[in-house]
Amino acid sequence: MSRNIPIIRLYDNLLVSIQTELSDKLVHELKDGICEEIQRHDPKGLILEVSGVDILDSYIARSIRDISQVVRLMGVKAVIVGLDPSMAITLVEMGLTLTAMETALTIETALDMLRREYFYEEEDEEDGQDAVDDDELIDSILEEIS
Amino acid sequence: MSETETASRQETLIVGILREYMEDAVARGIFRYGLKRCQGGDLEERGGRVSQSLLQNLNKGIDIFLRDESMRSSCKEKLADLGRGGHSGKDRKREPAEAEARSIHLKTEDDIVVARNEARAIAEGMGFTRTEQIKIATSVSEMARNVIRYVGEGAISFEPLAGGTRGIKIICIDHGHGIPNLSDVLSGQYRSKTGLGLGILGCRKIMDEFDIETGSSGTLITAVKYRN
Repeated sequence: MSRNIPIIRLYDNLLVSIQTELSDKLVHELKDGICEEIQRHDPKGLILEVSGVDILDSYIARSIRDISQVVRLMGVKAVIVGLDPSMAITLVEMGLTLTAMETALTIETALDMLRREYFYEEEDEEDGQDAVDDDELIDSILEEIS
Repeated sequence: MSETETASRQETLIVGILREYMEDAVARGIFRYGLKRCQGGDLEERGGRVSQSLLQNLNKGIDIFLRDESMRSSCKEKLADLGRGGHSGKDRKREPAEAEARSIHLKTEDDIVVARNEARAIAEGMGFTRTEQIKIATSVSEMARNVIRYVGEGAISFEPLAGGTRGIKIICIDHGHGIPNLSDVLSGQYRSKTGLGLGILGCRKIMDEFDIETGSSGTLITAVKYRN
């Protein structure tokens, strides 16, 4: 059962669409593969599309949560996309809580989420720049007055 | 899949089988002969199903062209399999073995995938809803994973409940050293570092009946899910 899951670049993000039965080995390989691609391409976000996953049991669910935490440490935000309704019901009834994990129903929504996040970050940086300019301006005025 | 596609797939399958035993041209000839002779016109009109009359006519051609007795019977057997399956070999596999009991030997991580797919196919065949199928398959995955991770070898079986009750019974067995802290696991005190800490407990929540016996000679889990 040797298959691999493609990791695709999409704008500033990586898109991983899992369309196969996930064996434990594959989950492990995927985690490594994603980390390598992140290091290589320095993306802003990671979209994990799971609509094709056959079953999310506790180990696979945990692995997906782990992936999102690992990439967060590398400065990348992960969004889980396309969770099957029956799978969502099962996970909740089993007592699973996916805290600290961003989710979206579709890839479009996920892209919007990531773009918005990135946009705000850029805006914040600009604000910071403005603040410095303001300080300089005030300083120069103060100098003139004195 | 459209009827035309099914028909041409059937043709490919039939000619493919014949070609294992004879020249390409002969195989096509027998196929065309059989098709012409059987009632109801071509494959497309009959929705691509391999009918008994087509099989009979194919067999006539095989009798003429295949001299070796054992090759003849093995070729006929393969074609008869197509007829029994109705559609393609792949579709046939998806239909569970008429909800018979199935047992799967657990030895490698890949067996976990095999077990949960099998469980799901049986549940689907029994008319369980999609969510119920997923719950059953998830439980099977949890149980099988525990066997592989903590013991290394075991077996899991699925069987439809006998009598009028509609439901599926899952039995998972291993001959490991048992689960030492079962009461902690079931009360939610213990959390495994590798899972989300809800494997067995989660199974119990999504199944209708859940019974676990564990001791130094092994663990036996019996779980039942009823059809709503």
